[in-house]
Amino acid sequence: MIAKILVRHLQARPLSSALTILAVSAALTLLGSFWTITENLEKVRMSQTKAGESPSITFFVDPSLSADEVAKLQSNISSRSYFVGIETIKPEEAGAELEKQFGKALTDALGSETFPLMIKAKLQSNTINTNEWNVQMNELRSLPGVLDVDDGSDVLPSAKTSISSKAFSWSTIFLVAVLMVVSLLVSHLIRLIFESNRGELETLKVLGASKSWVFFPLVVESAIIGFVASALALGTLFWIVKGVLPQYSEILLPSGTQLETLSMSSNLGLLALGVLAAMLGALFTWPLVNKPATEG
Amino acid sequence: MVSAGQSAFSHFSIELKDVDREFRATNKVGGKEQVTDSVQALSRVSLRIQQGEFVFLTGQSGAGKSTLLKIVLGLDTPTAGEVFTLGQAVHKLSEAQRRELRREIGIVYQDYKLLPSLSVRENIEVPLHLQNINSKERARRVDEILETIQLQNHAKHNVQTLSGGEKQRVALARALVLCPSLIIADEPTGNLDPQTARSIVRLLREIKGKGTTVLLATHDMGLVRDFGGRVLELISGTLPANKNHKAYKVPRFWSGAEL
Repeated sequence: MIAKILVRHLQARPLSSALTILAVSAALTLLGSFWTITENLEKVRMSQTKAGESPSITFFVDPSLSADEVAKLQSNISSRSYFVGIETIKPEEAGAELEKQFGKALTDALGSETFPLMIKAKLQSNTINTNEWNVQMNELRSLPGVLDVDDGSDVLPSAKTSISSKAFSWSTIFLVAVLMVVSLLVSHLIRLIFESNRGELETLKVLGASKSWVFFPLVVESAIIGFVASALALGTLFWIVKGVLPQYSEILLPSGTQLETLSMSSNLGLLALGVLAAMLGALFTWPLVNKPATEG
Repeated sequence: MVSAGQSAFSHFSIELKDVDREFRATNKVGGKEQVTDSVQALSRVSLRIQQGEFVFLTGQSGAGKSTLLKIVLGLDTPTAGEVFTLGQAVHKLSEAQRRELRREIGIVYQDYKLLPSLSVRENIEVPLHLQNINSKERARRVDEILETIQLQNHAKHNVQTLSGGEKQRVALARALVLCPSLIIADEPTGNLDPQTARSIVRLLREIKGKGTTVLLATHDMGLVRDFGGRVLELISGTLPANKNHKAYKVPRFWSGAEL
């Protein structure tokens, strides 16, 4: 019986229902597009981080240090929890490395006696953020015998600088905006539906129907609208990412870049958001439901 | 012992004591609400209707019949006075309690107020749904009442396909399906031809025979003449012939044949 009432309500305003579904779908598609871009950028960042694995930090050490002093320095460095796998490169090996990279002319010009001793330490980038690392860098640079330390801060995550965290703050603002737009659009439609079926709903109230009995179909209607609009938005997103963008990838995307569709969790998130925002919209009709019964 | 909200005279189906209903039109002038117009729809109306009575409520359009019925049903609140329906002090009840009360009353309207998306059977089932009666019992009661109103063959038809008389029979069936002790009918014959109107009133009289109280508002004096019984006549919101409830007992100023 409630299903029949539902269908009738939705049929009461077919054009408004269709337009609302399209508008809600458009808002959700916009949000979904933003999520798609964020997810793809995040994938690129992750792949770059993976390619470098644990980044190496190089200490340039005074070659005149004694073996004991070098050992003490190594011990000092390895005692820090964010370093793993310390490796010492002797000056002649460093020279060979330089020669391999930049040619013999450079090593000849520098002279083998000036080559520093190099200590390479692998950094566990997930144990420290940029701000902490900057403090540590100053301390490491002031260690006795250390000439310089190359800066590894670009590979470190920071709550303020990573793509995902920046995107998150924008996503939150965007998400709230979409939530409000969807709720308002659906509440407007549900109000129209309520007005179109006011006589019927008032009859139910007169016959003694509880508020929840009157309200339930309206909430289910809004959930259906939210679901249909979300499904439409997900379909549109899939079509854009897999059907439209590849045709223009040479113009729009760097070569070799392949866009991925939203992850399953984001798909479900968008679907849930659409349904919840729409149901939230139905709440705006509560004052109409809450009014004492009249004869309609 | 009479609990709060219960009438001391619970053997009355309906009891009104000095009921006033004034409708006011207000306007905000300088931030203060001012009454710009007012209409006294009911003025010091008192009446008692005993369990099992069949009562016609008559009067011209605008006499206050519908207002009185709304007040009895808890769809409107009197400006002054006390209203007891099925022993409950309606004027003191909350909206939720009024809803509960209305579920105990069969209500019939001139414009049927059927749910257009539903079939005859589903419309009759609505009050049973509201009372959370199980499907087996619902089916049994609907079958029974369909037989009474002789619409068994239309059970699955959408109510929009029915004639006016058939729609009113469905509305009547919906009102009767819970075997209420009180039926309130507001101009139930207003949209019907004389023959169909009489068949509807005849049905209501049959129900009265089962101990159900029926209060039927009509401005069709022909019906009143034909069916007779107790008549309350509202004139400009007052019941002049019924200043004392004892006077109600013999107010048959139309004596028609009892059916």
